[in-house]
Amino acid sequence: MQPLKLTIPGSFYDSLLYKGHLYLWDVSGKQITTIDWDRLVESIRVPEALRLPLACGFRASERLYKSRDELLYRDKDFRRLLTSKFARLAERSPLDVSAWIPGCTLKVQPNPFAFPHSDVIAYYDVVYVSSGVGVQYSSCHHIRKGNPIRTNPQMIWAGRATGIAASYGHMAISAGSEGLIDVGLSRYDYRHEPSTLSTLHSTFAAWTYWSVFSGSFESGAYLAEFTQPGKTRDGSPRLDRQDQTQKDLRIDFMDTVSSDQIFGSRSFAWGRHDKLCQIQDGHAAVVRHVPWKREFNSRFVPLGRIALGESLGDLVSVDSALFGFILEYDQGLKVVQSDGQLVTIPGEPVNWRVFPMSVSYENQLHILYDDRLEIWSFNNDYLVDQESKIAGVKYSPRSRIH
Amino acid sequence: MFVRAYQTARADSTAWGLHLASRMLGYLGEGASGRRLFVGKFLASYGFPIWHGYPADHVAHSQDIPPDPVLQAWSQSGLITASKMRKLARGRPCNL
Repeated sequence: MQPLKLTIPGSFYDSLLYKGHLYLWDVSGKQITTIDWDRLVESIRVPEALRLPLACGFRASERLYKSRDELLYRDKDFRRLLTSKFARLAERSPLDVSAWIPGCTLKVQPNPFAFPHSDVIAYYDVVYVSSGVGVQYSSCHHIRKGNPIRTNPQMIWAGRATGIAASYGHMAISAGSEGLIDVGLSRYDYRHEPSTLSTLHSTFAAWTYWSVFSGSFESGAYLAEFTQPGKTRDGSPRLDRQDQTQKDLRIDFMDTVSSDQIFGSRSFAWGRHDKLCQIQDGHAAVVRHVPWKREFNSRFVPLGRIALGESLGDLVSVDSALFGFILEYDQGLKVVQSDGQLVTIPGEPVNWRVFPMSVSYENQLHILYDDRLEIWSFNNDYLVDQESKIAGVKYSPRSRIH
Repeated sequence: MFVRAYQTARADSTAWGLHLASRMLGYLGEGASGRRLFVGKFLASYGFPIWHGYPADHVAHSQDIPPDPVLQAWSQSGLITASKMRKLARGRPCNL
């Protein structure tokens, strides 16, 4: 199935799509433009028969994921119909939305954060931005009055941060040669002072269920393991429950496991949700992470290797999404789709981003170039068996946390 | 020849530069990992008006990533692209 594509002209440094609003950082770092994303997608003129792929492709991916277990998906005629609708919309790609941008722009506001930032995420209506000064945060989603992103950001950690990831009320901060830092967020009322999970180099990090996988372009990768929510270190239920809701979600750091142990070799590695990956001789070796298992061999289950095809230069960045693995090289991006197809997107991007933890945009890949934002929508994964797939993280509704 | 060598703050006595060779940015050397380096970092000797410089490895060492205002100034003046600005800020491999 060909991906859908939508183009927004302009010079942007970064994009963040969250709860119906598209936040765009301009390349000078001076402004953030907030666009009413739902309205913009609805404004696109397509035949009524293509409204379904348009909506699921760009603003409500969960609609088709939520129906996955139903008989509908086992029906060959339905699968054929769905595939043909996406194919017909793909023929119209790239969809040009430039005419509707002015009418859907909610606000252009000064950028309150340090610039150029290294990473930006949204977590429970708060935008977190990492940069050379540390990790700043400010509430977002304020549309009716004032600026959509509040203009007085606070700091939760001071220092050079190269990547951030939030889940279970914790913020994992990759601080390069300073290691991997953990900061408790106030949401769960057990905010704590920043602590160092590991002094080993960390370029980026992502949550793998309730643990954090740290990747590095300088040294080995590792998994910082936390206790299962509501459980103690030995796996028994917590007995100190005073507040059921908060204690059930509480996780505590235990120890780190090196990627050498997980993969049996040392090479560049990354991980997200249920998939841990390592580059091996032009392939991605994939291991399933099953953190609720206690035995090591049951906790890390090798799934196989996927060929990555011809190199596009040195590896620059990686991430995982439901629809597959995304690898950035010097001269372009590669998407290893969950159905096995490989998509090559040549050209050096200014930036790119996926939204694997979001509710409605897990199928999107945003690629920013000097003069435009390209939004790619990959919809092959709706028809892929989530249990047996190797490329891409598994869809699980309970992991859609914000 | 170094261009746009920015002193980030008088107090920390650190400056950052890029090397121009035939109007093109050039590499300064290789890091311990074999990675080619192109950002120059300069430190002033305490009490002396003498600066010492070395090729900064922004992937290996957080303190070798130029401060945000320096990255922004290089990008705005066209010395580096926005893509390279992002790679430097994120501590990612970055070739010229």
